[in-house]
Formats: sequence, structure tokens, C-alpha cells
Amino acid sequence: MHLSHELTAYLDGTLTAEEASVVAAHLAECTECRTTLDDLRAVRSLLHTAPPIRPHPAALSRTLARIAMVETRQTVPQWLIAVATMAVGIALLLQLRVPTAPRQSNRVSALWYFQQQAEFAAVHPMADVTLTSYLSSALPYETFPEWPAAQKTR
Amino acid sequence: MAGRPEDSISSVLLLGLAATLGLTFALDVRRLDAATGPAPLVQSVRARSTVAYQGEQIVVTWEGTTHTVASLVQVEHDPPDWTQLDYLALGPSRRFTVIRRPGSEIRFDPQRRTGITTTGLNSEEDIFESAHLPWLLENYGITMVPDELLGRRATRIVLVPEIADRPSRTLVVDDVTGVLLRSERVGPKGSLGEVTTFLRFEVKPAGWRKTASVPTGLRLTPQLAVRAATAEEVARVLGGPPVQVAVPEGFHKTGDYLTGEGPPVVQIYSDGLTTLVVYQRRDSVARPPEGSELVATSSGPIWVQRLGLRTLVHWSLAGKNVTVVGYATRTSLQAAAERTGITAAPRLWDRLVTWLREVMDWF
Repeated sequence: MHLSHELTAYLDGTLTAEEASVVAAHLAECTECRTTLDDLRAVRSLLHTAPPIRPHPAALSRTLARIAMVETRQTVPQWLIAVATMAVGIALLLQLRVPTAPRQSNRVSALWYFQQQAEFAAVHPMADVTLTSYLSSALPYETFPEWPAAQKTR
Repeated sequence: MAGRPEDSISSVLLLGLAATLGLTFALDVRRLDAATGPAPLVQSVRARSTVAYQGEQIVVTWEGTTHTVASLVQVEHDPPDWTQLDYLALGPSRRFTVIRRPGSEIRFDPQRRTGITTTGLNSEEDIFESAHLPWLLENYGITMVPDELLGRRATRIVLVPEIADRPSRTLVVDDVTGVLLRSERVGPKGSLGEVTTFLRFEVKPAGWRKTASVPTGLRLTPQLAVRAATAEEVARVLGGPPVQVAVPEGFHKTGDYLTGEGPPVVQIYSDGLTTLVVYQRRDSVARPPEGSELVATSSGPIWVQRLGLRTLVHWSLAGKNVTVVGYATRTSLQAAAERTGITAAPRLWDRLVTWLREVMDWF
């Protein structure tokens, strides 16, 4: 069994005295772990020789600005959400099926239909051989546009 | 098995002969039916165009449990050129006069001297015996008994429908002239719906009103004419073929008509005795007339209204509004609507589109 994470901690000096003595005892017997420890020490030395590079003074502000821009892009405006909701609501509302209410404004009244039926029935040879009866079903009021509405019985 | 050409020709000739005989026999049966129809019934229809008379009638119609319309009518009949009916309504209604002459009819208020003139449909008396009478015999059971009215010998004819969804009719026909002296229409539940009866009747010589003329000084408004329509015209007006309404059993179509107001296409059906009228209009949204009662069916809404013995049913199907009016029970016409097919209630979207279309048309 070889050591890995423990070697890094051993180098950093973050192990307890007891753990450090265990690692040291292992290193005394394990050539491979000693080699790994040497490699780790070499890498650290190399990093210490590299010259320090200072970040651009505007880097922080620029980065923060870009983050803010991304946040702005990802946030949908509330008015847009409201409009979309309203549009979906209207679309759903328009799908509602509601029977039409009977109204006088529906072009012709029920009386008109009954009168017309009586008129058509009047030409039937058996409908009114007495000549008079069909007009009892077709009151004249609707057929006299000049007559005042007050004269109508219904 | 291959036969000789002579055999084939003989077979064809024999078949043709048999078919001809069969057709002739069928026509004979039809003629026979018409000819053997109840004589007083046929006589009463013929009398309308042959017997001149003068009289007074009372006409009463019950339009529901509370509303009754009654008129006293002075009748002058001198076929074919003159018929005058002076209606003196009993109640709040006004007086009015009807004058019928060949091809035209005027109705006017004799006091205000205003009214309408119309060129309505011609009477179908000519086809009664060939078309209507066979239907009548098919749809009604007929019983006749001797009777008497206004001191005249008469025959009482009772016509009871085979299908109990329409009124029965009782006619009292004068034995000498064939003129119908009294008519009653009774609903399926026995309620009296209409009565027309002579209070006074006097036979007159032909031509007795030969010199009669329409009063002068009348202000008459022409009423839009109704005219017979071809299938092509109907399809053009409705934007497609009309809805084939599954009318109650026993009714036969007699014609298609175009009108100038209201629903433009009118189809007339007859069971030999009563008339059923089907109105159709191109419209995606139902337009039930005021006072109609909404009935929800499994297919969609229909609207129903009753007036006396008559029923009005309105519904929408395939982009057309259909309205049926006739002497039939509410159940019967509702069933007819359901057999025909009913479009579901319109969406608000459909109404919006219809409204926009109307606004566009208005501009």
C-alpha cells in the first residue's frame, strides 16, 4: 500500500505528530513513496521560482460587469410575463363554449318563424280549405310595418 | 353457360316487358289510391276553386294555456278571380282585410288604408290528388260519419295520425258543395288547438263578385317575394349543400324556396295534411329567436319554443343555422334535430370571428 494524499499533508505539515510518525516510518521502508515525495517537493520548488503576474487593474470590474450582463439576459421582464400570461388566458377563454342567448336582435323573432310557417302552410291544399284559418296563425301586425308598435298584442 | 344471342335478346325483351307491366301496375295502384281517397276530402279541395259563396266564420286559435286569438271573418269567395276576407278581431287586435286575386294578395287596414301586397306561392291544389293525397292516406287513419251543420247535410271526416306526434284533424264537409264548414285541429294530448267554423253560409252563383275591385287610395308596401329555388341556387346561397334534416317520419319534401328576409333558404315538407318548414342560414353561430328555451343535448345545444300546437326548434350544424317549425310535438322535433346532428356550442373565438365578419360586412 502506497501513500498519496498523506504525502501532500506531510509536506504541508498539517498532519498530527502521530500521523507524521506513521508516514515517516512508511517512507523509511517504501522507495516508491519516497520518490513520489521527492517529485512533490520538486514541483513546489519549481512553482516558487516562477515570477509573480499581477492581474489587470480592470479585470475585476470587467468580470463583475459581464456577470451582471449575463444575469440581466437570463431574467425575463415582469411585464413580458404578464403579457404572456394574459395572452394564454385569453386564448383559453376564447376556447370556452357558451350557448348563444336567445335575443330579439337575432335577426328574426320567433313570431316571424311561426308567421312564415303559417304562410307556407296556407298553400297546402289541406291546410286551410276554409281560406280563413291560416291568418289566425299569422297575425297581421308583423306584416304591417306602418302600424305602431303599441298596437301589437305581444 | 353461354346462350344463343337470340335467347339473350328474348330475355331482355321479356324483362323489359315485365318491368313495363310492373311500372304500369304500380302507377295504376297509385292512381287507384288517389281515386279511392275519401270523396268528401277530395271534393272539399276541389270546391275551393269551384264553389262561390258568402258567409261568416269564427276562427279561434289557442296559443298556449293563456293566450287565445279569435277573429270573426266575413268571407266573399268567387273563384278564381276574387276572394275577400274581412277580419274583425275579437279582442285587442285590429281589423284588417285580405283580398286574393290570381297571382297576388293584398292585406290592409281598412281604416288606415295601409298594408302590404305580396306575390306569394301559388296554391298546390293541382297536385293534391297526385302528391298530397297518397301521403295523407299513408299517414292518417280516416273515418267518416254523416253529420249536419247550419241546417245542411254534411260529412264529418276525422283524420287521426298514424304517428302520435302531430295533431289530428276533424273536418265537416258540406255534402252538396264540398265546402269545408268546420275544421278542428286537436293536439296529441286531446287539447283543442284551432277551430274554424262557419256561423253563416250561403252558396252564391259563379261570377257574383265579377265587378269587384280593389279599393282605391291604399298605400301598399310590396312584400319581398318568395320564389322556388334550384339545388344550385340553394348551394350557392348556403355556401354548400344544405343540411339534410331528418324530419319526422311521414313527411315528404315538396320544394326549396328562397326568401328575401329571415333565413334565406326554406324547405317545405308535407305529410299530406300538415306542413313542416325548415329554414337554413349560413352562419357559424346559432341565433335562437327570443323566448326560446335552451335544451342541452349530448351533441350540443338546441333551442325550443312552442306556440299552440306548433313547435319551433333551432340549432346549428356544419356552419348553418337550422330552424324547423311545424305541427309536431316538442319531443318529435327535438329527436329530429338529434338525428340530423348538432354542432357543439360555439367557442367565444367563433363568436368573435363572426362579429368581426359582420363588422367587415357592415363597412
